[in-house]
Amino acid sequence: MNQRQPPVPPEDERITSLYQRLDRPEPGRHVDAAILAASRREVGARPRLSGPFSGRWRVALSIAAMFVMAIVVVPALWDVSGPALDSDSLPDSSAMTPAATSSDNAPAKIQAGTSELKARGVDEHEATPSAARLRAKPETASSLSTTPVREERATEQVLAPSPLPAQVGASQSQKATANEIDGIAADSVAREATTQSTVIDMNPQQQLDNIKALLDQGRVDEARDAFKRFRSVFPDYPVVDELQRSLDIRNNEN
Amino acid sequence: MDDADENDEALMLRYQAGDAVAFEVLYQRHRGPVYRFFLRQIGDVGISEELYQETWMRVIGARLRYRKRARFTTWIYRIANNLLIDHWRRVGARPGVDSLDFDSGNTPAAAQVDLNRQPEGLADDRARVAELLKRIRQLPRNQRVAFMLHYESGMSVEQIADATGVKRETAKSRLRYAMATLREEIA
Repeated sequence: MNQRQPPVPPEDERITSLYQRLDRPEPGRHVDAAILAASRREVGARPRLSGPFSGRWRVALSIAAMFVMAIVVVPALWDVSGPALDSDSLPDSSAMTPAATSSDNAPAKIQAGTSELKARGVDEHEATPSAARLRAKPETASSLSTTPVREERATEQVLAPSPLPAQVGASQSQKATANEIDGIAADSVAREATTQSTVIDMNPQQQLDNIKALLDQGRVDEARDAFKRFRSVFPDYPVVDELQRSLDIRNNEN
Repeated sequence: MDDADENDEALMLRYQAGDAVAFEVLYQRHRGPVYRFFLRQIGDVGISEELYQETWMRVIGARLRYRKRARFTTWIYRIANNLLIDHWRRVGARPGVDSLDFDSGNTPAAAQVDLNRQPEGLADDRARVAELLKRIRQLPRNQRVAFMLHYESGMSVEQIADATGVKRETAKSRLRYAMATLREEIA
């Protein structure tokens, strides 16, 4: 550095020449050692930093990142997962009401019943409107409570032949269904849907076969009631004259 | 590129990034001129070493704030000059020369006479060199700083102005008056 003297006018050459003859003292070795040790210590004591994220910008960027997290990310997580609940404030799953518990399981149960219907070749709309409706609207128990149950009751009354196991306590089941739905018992509603799927397991022809079986067993009144329910649901379904006549004959005999 | 060929700014940036070797190269390159910047003006080895060490300590401590747009020599001599000013303030302005403003060229008659006094017995160059050093120390403070930065550190007028925090014309004036005084003394 000191060898790089700037150009000087001629009159200053003498001064330059004299200055260069001056002694060139240097700092003591102990000073050099202290400074170099401090320089190494400074580097070793701090992490290697460079670029735009070093120095004073590091603090500012950290604060900015914290604000971004607080303003953007946390509300987004809140929207997705809802408010975080303390585990202590959550009710014990075993203590939950059956309605609440079954409400979560109702769609699964309905889906299972519908799958069973499909496996048996029964169209779900044909089988029962309520089952389809339940499957389509499983979201809330309150919505189920507003569902008209008249149609479901009629379906059960018609499709459940009295001598079959599914028919046992049909009227009770009918009342229970209404009560449970009105009482927002989603679990019972789902169970009802499964039961209905069992009751309506028979297509119209099977219903007629059951009615015929009742006649063969001499249970004419039950057969006649079943037929009436059948006609209320399937008024236009063709019925062989033989069965119609048998019902009339047996009716006349009685 | 070899360390010795790398410029001061690149070495300082390397040290800023944690390269201690870069600082050693930088230190070896400037240790002499910076030390003599103090010693030629103060004359006391102990005080000069103290200020010299403090200068480098400040360089080390401020390494993260260093930016490449600043010339390293300008930066370190600005630190050194500030420490020197603080030193003068602590010890008090020297009577006569240091308390006067020579930038305007209004040199008092007493000082003018003293500076123009031809030393007797300057028979050889060695005596002239010693006389030069003496005259340098007798220069007004600002002129002396400008002279030292120009002759010891090889700074241009612009760089002197930057290092001392004055306008270019002021730095140029200080250097011109210093040279004129010494020229008359040595002639």
